[in-house]
Amino acid sequence: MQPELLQFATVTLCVGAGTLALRSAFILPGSAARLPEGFRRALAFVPAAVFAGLLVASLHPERVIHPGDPVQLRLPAMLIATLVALRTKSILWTILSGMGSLWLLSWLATLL
Amino acid sequence: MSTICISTTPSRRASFTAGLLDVAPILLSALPFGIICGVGALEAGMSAGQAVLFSFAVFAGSSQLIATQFIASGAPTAVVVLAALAVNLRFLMYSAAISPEFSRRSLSEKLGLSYLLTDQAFAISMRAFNQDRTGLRRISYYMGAALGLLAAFQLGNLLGISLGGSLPAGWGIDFSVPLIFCALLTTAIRNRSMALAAVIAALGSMLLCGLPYMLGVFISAVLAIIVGYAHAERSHAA
Repeated sequence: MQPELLQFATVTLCVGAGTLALRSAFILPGSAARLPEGFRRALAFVPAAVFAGLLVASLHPERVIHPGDPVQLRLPAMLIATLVALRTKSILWTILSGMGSLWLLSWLATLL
Repeated sequence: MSTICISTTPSRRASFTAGLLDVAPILLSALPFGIICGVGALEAGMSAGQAVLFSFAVFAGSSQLIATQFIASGAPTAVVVLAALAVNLRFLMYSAAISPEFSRRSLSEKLGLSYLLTDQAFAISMRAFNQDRTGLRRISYYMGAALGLLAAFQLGNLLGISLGGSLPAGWGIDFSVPLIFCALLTTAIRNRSMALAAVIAALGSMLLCGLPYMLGVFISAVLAIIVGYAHAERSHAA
């Protein structure tokens, strides 16, 4: 089997089955099962920590320091989108405002 | 003397429709999220068929995005799986909270209901259950909301797979990935301790961006969870 195909099959199987196991962990045994209180409180921090880390990583901070890199236009667009996200809590409006700002800034940059 | 009984309990169909209608505004977000996931899967080197299979097997947008990002960065399989599952740990909380509603169902029904458990389906359903609407058929309501989300997300995924190759690079469509994480982050932060955890994870990710396979995200997230949890416990004790 090709390495790419093997990786796809393993990732699909493990992530698919693992996600279903997490979703059904307390549903299958019924309401008698309980999550330890301390662990439950710690789990509440997972989304905020993971999403913040991924947000920064997907903005390619290693490229931002290079002058003239088009990635730099993404920072002001992200700032506008963040304000919209805080205001609306909507994925749709965050995408629209962020992409709209990026396209506008890119167009303005071509005029300079 | 005959008695006429008029039932005030909504039918299963009415409860299903109520769930579908309540989730309708969120479907507008699920569709573009699905599109981005479809595009991301193609960019990670999956074929169209593999991208569809992957999306139906996992059905969790943020972990699909994370998996495809890690695959694209050349990360080993174990790192991809761990990263994708780490973000899904929150489903443990949802599972524990909603399990009493499903306790009288058969094993196969429980598995089906579990598969449909998403952030939005959980949030919409728990809000309706807590409102204690008269006679609401809770499973039907949940099914309406959850199946609506499944349909919108997978339709978006198919659109993303269809459009993927034809989207011009100049559009910067990959920028929508951090935008989605931004929107998810603003809804995930519910108190100061969580905000502190987010700041630490962001700073750590920036400082450790030179590490391969996005390991900086992993390390900074673990550190952020520990600090955020400790801060919350300390605030609680004070």
